[in-house]
Amino acid sequence: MTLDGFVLLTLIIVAHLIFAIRLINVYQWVNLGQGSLAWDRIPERMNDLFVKGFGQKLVLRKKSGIGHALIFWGFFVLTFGTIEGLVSGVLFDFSFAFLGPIWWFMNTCQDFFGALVMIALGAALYRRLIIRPKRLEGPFSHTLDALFIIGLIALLIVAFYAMQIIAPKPGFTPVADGLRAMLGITGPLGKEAYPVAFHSFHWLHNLIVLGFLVYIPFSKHLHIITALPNLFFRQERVRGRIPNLDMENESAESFGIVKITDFTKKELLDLASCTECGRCQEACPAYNTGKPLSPKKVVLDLKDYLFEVGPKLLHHPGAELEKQLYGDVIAHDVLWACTSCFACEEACPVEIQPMSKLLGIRQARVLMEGDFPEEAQNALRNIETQSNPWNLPQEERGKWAEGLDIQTLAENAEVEYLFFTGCAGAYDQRYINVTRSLALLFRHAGVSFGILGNEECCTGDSAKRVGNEYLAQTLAQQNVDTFNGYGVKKVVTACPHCFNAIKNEFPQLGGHYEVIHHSELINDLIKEGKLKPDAKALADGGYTYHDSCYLARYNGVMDAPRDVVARVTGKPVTEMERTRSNGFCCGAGGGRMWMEEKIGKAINQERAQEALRTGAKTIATACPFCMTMITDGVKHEGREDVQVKDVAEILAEVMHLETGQRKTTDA
Amino acid sequence: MKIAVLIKRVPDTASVFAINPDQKSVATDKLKFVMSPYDEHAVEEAIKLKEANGADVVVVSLGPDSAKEVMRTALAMGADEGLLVTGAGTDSLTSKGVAEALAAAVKSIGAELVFAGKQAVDDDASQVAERVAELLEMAHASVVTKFELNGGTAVVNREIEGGSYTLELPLPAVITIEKGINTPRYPTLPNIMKAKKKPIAEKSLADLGLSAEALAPGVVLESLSLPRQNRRNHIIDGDTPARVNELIRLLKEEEKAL
Repeated sequence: MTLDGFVLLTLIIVAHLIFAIRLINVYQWVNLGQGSLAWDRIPERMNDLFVKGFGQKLVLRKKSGIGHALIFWGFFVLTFGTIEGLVSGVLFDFSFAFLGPIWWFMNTCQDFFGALVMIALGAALYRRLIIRPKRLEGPFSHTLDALFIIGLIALLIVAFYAMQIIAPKPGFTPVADGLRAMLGITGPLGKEAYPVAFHSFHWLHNLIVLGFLVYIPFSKHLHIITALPNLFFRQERVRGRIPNLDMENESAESFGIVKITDFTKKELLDLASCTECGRCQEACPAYNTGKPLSPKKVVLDLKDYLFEVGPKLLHHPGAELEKQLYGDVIAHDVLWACTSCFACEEACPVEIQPMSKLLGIRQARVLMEGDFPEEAQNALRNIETQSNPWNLPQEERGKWAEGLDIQTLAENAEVEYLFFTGCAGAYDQRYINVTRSLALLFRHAGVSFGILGNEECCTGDSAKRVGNEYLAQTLAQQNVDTFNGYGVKKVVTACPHCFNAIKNEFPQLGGHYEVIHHSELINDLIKEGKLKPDAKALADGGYTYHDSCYLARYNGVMDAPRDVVARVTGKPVTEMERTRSNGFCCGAGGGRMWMEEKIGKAINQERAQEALRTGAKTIATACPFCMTMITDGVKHEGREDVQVKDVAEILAEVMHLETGQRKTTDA
Repeated sequence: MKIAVLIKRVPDTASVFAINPDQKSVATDKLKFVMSPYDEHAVEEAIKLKEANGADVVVVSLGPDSAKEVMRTALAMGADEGLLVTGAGTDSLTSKGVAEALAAAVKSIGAELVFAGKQAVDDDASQVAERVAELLEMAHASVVTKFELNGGTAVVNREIEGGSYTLELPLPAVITIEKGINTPRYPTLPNIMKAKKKPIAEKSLADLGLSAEALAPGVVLESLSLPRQNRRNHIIDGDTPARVNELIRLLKEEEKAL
């Protein structure tokens, strides 16, 4: 071995040691979390790994993801040459030549991918320096980190092509050949022909590779190592369900996330897997309206905190920390800005869950400290007393049905559907019109249904997302007991929040029902010919539809409400810029309905403006919270000419079903 | 130091009220009950004092067995124990009788400081705490919006129209609390769990050595009635002159207001 080879070998060993030690550290810090990483359902997990990981399925949902995929795949292709380069630096003249045609093929691929990666790097640079999209906003150090990596990879490709120009390996290599021709290099080739140049580029290539190896685990590029495992160990979960905390556990020291180590190992692996791509930030209604919450920042702040306190906690488990998770890392205004709209978790290409982490911290604030926004406290107290957030009498929960002669399950439980109205459907003077419209539609179509009347209580959706697991479970259990008492099998509801709670959360407490949203049921009834809209009666002017997060993103109900409007009007709704699973929250989820919005632009205004830009004269909704928020937003814009209506109302009106209710919110 | 907080279980004011056929009592079977809101502030003030200076906080109530539910709420907020005066004869007392019973209860625990809401939101009588002070010969300040303990004396603020009093009271004293003095805390889960195990003692009127004479009502309830309800909403249609004429006719003939 030459001195040259010896130096390189030493560097290789040192770089790998640093790399390994750092990774072991990261593993240990992640290991401070609760539970264990899941090794069940291996075939499913492998599928995730290949489709979402190696296949880049989630990354490719955005155009900019093409660049990432090219760099990602290029990395694997070029690794072939990297290994040859490193080994031949030590052992001289090593190559995969013995693989024969495979070697030829890989050399060909490398030539193409080198160019593709270069183009992708150019695009990445352009985005960071010229376009600067919202999602890449953040501290300058993050941009610097990215630029450094982009530069390093670019230099690596330069060195790769330089070697290929000087000493071509067999293969179809038009890029290297073209470059050689452009540079006017002719005559004998090979490293012997250009010993100094080749040697220099060989060293440059190897040094960059080793430098990269050392730099990766200390930078955001740690995701190269962690993202694939993060996809593999993805937490099995039901969308829309916040897993119940075990309230009976007497030995539990705390509930919710008090300390960083209260997160599960998988949740901590999440933190180490973030690449700062910012797709979550771009989708977040809070961030987009000037709130201090950015899901990206939440993840990165938690990651920095874990890496900062990890070493101490490793050697002194349970040590008192100067910096507290709540307050020092996640501030009050960050925590309570979340609308639980799920856009961040939907957007993440590596299945990181920023929202769930915030909701876990909320649980601790509410259950352990009783510390949360006062308006939300009032709403929860009201729910505790009268089982609705407005503290209206429980005794009047069934009053909306007056004059409609609807039977309660107490009077007749032999019906196909329980029609669950929800608090807004029962008490909100505006939304009662939707409830009554639906009752009339169901009756017109001959649907067999009954209501619970005063026996109905809040499903606990808001309480659960504010973090009061205790209250939420009490309410859910109360409903489950009532439902089961009447042998309920099918539930139709006009509130996506009730819908989600009954469908996805009640099963945790022994409540298993077939749950259907009213838009789905009335859409089916039209299809079956049981409801026949009279399009002539229609007020014209164009229709758009606003997706409820709990209907669309959480539960995939996106077509039915659109279909209802389309069947009535005879043409599809005019879509807003952000629709369907990319829909933009109205601002009322996660208990935000009951809290004041003091910072930044109002979320409902942002959304109402977007709806108005479609030019539609009617904004269709399918959720009581959305209706309130969008109506307020439209009013704020002074657009009295635009109406906000539930899809059920639009249908009921053209069927000339009179509810006897006023249809506006003004007094 | 022992602090007694007088609390009352009252119907939630949002409930729909109905009078029993006897015209002398409220139908309670469908009502939702809560701790009287002013009492929540009184409990909070006592707990704050406990946290600052150390004290034993005993919540004292008079009522049926179900009054324990609101006592548990106070215990979950941080009170240490409860004392419920219950049983025969407690359901028909007027303010005077309740005060006699609670005074005896407060005496039995030897409290130096007594907090109570400035009034209970069910009958709005604003009598019990004042009567207790009188019976126990304690100093008294009502409708207090700021409270401080200064050695053996209490310094309080009382809000009045356009100004405020600052009073100094020797202990023992009875203080009734107005909203605005504090924000009652939201009970935490561990405290809700602990509250389930905290002791609530029960005493009958006989246990407190009270005579029928002391508890005699002093007033006689003639009848109860609900406030006039259901504003009549009447939207008048037509052109403006017709509507004005119709309005005048309605005000004259139906409402007899003109």
